[in-house]
Amino acid sequence: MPRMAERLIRWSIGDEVRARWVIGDLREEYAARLSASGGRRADLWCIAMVTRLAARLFWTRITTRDTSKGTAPVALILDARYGLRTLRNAAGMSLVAVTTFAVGVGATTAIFAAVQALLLRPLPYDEPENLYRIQVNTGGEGWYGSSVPEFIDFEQELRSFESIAAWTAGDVTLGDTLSPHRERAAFATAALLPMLGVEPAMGRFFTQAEETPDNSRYVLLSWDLWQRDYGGRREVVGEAIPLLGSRYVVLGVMPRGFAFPDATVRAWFPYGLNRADPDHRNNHYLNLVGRLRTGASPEAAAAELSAYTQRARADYPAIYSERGFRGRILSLHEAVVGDMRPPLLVLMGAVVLVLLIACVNVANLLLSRGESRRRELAVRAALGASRGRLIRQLMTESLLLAAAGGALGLAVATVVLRVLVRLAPPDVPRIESVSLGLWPLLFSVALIGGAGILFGTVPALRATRGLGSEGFIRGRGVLAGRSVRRIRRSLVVSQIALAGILSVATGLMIRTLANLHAVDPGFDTGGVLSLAVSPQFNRYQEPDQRVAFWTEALDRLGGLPGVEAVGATSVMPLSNLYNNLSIRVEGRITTSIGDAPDARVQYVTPGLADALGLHLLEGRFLDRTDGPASRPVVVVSESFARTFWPAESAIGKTMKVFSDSYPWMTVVGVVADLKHDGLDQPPAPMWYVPTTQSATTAYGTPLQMFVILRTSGPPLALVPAVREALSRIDPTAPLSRIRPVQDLVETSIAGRVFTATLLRAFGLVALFLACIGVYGVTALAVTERRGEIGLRKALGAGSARILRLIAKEQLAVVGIGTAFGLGGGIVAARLMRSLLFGTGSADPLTMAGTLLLLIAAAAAATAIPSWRAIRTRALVSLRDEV
Amino acid sequence: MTHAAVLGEFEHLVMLAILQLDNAASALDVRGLLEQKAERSVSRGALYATLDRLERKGYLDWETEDATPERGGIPKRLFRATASGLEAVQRSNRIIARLSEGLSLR
Repeated sequence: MPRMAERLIRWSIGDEVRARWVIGDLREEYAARLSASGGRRADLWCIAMVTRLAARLFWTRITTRDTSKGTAPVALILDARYGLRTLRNAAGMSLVAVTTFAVGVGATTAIFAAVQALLLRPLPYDEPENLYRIQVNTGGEGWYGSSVPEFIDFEQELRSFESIAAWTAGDVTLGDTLSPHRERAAFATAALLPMLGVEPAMGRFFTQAEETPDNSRYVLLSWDLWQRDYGGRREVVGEAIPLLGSRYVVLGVMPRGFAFPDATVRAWFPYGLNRADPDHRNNHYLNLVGRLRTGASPEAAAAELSAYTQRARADYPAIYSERGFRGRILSLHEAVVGDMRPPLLVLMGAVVLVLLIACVNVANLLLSRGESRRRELAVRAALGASRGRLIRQLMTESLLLAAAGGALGLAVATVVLRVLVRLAPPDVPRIESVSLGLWPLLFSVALIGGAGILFGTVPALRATRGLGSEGFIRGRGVLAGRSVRRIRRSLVVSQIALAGILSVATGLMIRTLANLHAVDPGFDTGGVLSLAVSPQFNRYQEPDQRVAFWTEALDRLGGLPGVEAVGATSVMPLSNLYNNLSIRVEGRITTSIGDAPDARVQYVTPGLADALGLHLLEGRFLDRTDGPASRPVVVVSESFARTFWPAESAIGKTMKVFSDSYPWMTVVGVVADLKHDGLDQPPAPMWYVPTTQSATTAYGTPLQMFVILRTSGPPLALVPAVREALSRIDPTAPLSRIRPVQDLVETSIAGRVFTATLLRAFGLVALFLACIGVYGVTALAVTERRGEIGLRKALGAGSARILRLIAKEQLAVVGIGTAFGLGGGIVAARLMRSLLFGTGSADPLTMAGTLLLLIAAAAAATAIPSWRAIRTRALVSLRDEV
Repeated sequence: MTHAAVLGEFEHLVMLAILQLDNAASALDVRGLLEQKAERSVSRGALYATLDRLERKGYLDWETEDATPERGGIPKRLFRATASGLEAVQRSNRIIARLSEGLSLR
């Protein structure tokens, strides 16, 4: 008979002598079956039989409490059975403890799941730790992509990289006259996709031969696009499809879920880089990613990059001498998830606070319960139970509570996670992958075990202390010792402090939102609709064709009922996309492009000022008289005027683009700054040129533009009429990004709204849990002092006196807790500084609000027990005492 | 009334089976007989637990039969009813007989 089977039987019986008889019988039966039906069937029989038998024998052993030769599991199960019974007997307490803990575990697990999926999980590429973004700075704020010549140099010079790829992203028109629509696409060099280590789901990637300027009409489709637009037809690979007003050959389909640079991209094109005649060194628009050679360190790569930029500064003084040239490498993981880290860590901190408060609540409950069980424990001790045995019993009970709470907590986590994913801003990378997977589950199991031990230890140690001393069995044993009362009070102090920290953080976040909402974006948001119109390039190659299209389009739209004003612009406010050009301004000597100032340009039509509600500060906005033949004009923003002509009026001053062949333009107006990078960002200097002149004054006339419509009714109600009007002019020009301008503002702060919403929820939960704590201690204090209160009443003390008695004790607890909370809040606020806007970490209003909130909450929590104390009838409580 | 325990139903059946087997029954024999005559399947676990319990109550004792090779050197227990075991069976039988008296179970 199999050894394992015998061992199992032995273990489940736990008594060698008795086990032998059983095993003897089984061996006999096994032998009989072996000769009758062969080894395989005998083994199968044996496995089935032994499992059943072992379970039955083990159960018998537990139910008959035979622990004489008890192995650990048996004792544990016995403890658990006993624990379950005691917990059932104290159903109210158990329920409160379990729910409290469930809330803590649920919230913490959910946020951890988000942290794990969004921050910790490696990117879904081959050896993702070797992928790095390469970024440069040649003046201005922050880090950005490289220019084409720089990229070509990097490929040669940065030997630490096995390969370097470049890409840009943009919208393309897919389809022709039938149903043209806009899709987001990436234009990448051939190295990109192989570098990521992915394979196409079908077909193949493009090669270097297929990315030259005159041979690059190829495309790879995303799985989604292939399914949606082509019904998942395999034959589409190899076909030429209508794209960008031309025909592109589909080389392949990317695997489902492939998302690079992000999940919005639906198609990948060869970049078509012109290596022979690259674009200007000063035009930085290529995003770069490189894969380090095996064994190469990121430090070595950074050193190479730095050596290169130094050489380049010397080699191209006209470009870099004034504004410098620096480079950095940044792990791709950091580049993708970096922005998500501060809010997620703040939320993680918040839920840990909630969990701690919950644990303290449970500890407090167990502590008072331990006190009231002293008599039972004393009896058990007197009957021979060792202290260790009793502690084990109590710890088993708290672990049981933790397990029950944890199980419920996982249900809570599922709900929280669903809410979290729904509330999350749409641009969070990898948000779709957030789920309660293996790691969050393991985390929660560790959390549950750890918390069970955390909140069980102190109560268990306290409850079993000094049980040997006589008098306990006879005595009342319910009055809490002074030290226990002290522990309980300090636990509540810590709860209030923790809730205070969270309240401060929440308050600051709410203040931040209020401040952001109060920021004037520089344009009107109500009743304004925006949409992108993208005519096909090959139909409008000449500037005057474009001007004609836009003039007619805007005239038609302006005539629609419900439209009060209409205009167009090349870039949307708050979009963080811009066209930054090197310029020359009157009063500043500029010798090379390297020392030329730069500012962002917007190509606009005259109607924009009225449609978007720009605030004119000086002079006039562009108007219809500013035609191709008239004097070149420009309107500048307030910060532009202040930067370049700080001492005097900008009106009448002149400026031009850096290139020599373009004329000087005269400033005719100054408009208020418009928020472009975000409500919390300072405005950047901006200049506005009329599309009627830009071909001759600013390098070209835009084709795709955003239409801004000021409406008298709900903005979106206008969409069908707009679509109809535009399709009459050109049915092949798709509309996209249709949204009320108000949405732009909401989207731009969506991340903070998300953080604030969750923080508020967690803050409320924390406050509620802390209130339960305060309530518990007060109620207990009142119960314990019933006799005293009754006596005082009998001696003539009025309600106010009694109330003062209760309040005095609680006030100290609340006061100390609040003080710690506010102090901790200031520290926490420092850690979340990057999320705040317009408020310091020690914002007086937030502090005062938190103070009031905590006091109000504490007052509410003590109200019921205090009322009970006042209502205490003198004689009744005295009688209880006797 | 003395606190003489009444046999449980299964205990009763096991005791009867042992007596049927000439008061020298192995666990396997008991199980075989019960399955055959009592029209029920007998779980080994229940049987061993019951045999142990009856032994603890003093209703059974056993002697060993020499080990056979199939048993891998472990001798076999042959159970027999003790005097008090016999008494317990009789008592249970009486109770059943008394309670059945005069009933027409059709």
